[in-house]
Amino acid sequence: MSYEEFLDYVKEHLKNYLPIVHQVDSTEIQVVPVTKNNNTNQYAVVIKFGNVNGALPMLYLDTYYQQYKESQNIDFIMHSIAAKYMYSLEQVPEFDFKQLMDYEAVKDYIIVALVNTESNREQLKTIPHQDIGGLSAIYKIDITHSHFGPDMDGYDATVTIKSEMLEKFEITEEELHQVALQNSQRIYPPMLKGLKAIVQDPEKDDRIYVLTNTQIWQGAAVILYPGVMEHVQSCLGDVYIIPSSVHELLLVPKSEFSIEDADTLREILCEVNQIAVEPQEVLGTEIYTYNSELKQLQVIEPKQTQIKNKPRSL
Amino acid sequence: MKPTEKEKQRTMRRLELYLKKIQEVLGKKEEGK
Repeated sequence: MSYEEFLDYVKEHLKNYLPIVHQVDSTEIQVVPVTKNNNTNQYAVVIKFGNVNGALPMLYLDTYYQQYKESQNIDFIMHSIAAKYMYSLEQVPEFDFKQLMDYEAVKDYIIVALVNTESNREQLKTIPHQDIGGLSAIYKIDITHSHFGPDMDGYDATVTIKSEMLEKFEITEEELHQVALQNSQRIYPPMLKGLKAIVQDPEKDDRIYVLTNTQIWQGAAVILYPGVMEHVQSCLGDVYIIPSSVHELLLVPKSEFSIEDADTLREILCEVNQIAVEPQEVLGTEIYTYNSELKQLQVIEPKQTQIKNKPRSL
Repeated sequence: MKPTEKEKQRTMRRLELYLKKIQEVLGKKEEGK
């Protein structure tokens, strides 16, 4: 069964796996595309139950399709989807989506994330963001950390802040940026650690470092935190910055790598992006350095012809 | 948010691959010295 056939199957048959009370004409199964980071689409199922109003969960189907391909047991997968959806539905009433427009209700849970500017050009037209050298800071409400959110660890329980929401909040983009930085530092403290230590390599001579947060989730954004790059420089000196994914950055000291090596690092970045990074988790294809005087990220151009200055300081 | 188990596995695979590939570069540099 292809992915498209799987989506059709879910749409046509999921109702049969719901509790008997919901197996009625008024229950409507929808399979909808959802645009994610880097303009990638994922498909999710939404079930409308008759006249019931209010928020409905969206359950992404990609993982279930992977499970189907591994098990070939469509009946089991359909039961799993139905059970998970009904469980998620029980969680949702605790969350009032109207509060997303209430700045006082969400202001402590606004966080910052880092995405690739070019790959998200269309979405960024309607999203407040700040460009920091081919990468853009965007802002999300982290529902899992809010007092009104359900316990949804492991789910994509964030809502990206759009321009219309910012208007309702009645704050400026700069105020949004600052409050997101404050919250992110509190909720997701930065972490600088040797790569070997993270992957539990027995050798201890770390010469490659990982800059992320303590969850290793959306951790590339820690580079925006005040003082982080100064701390990196005090520990490691000048570094090349590899945007390995939206979850973390890799740092290699310039004392270990020459400027010519930046081309090799870029080749490695592009290769690993292709074979080991999900499209929605790719952060970029450029190698950066940090100019401490200008407090700016700078792209190392291929063949070392020049270092390109970028507009916004960190 | 916390990463799912699958996301954690992907992260470890990605980082292990980077470690292997960058160490190869370092190894070649040391051989060339």
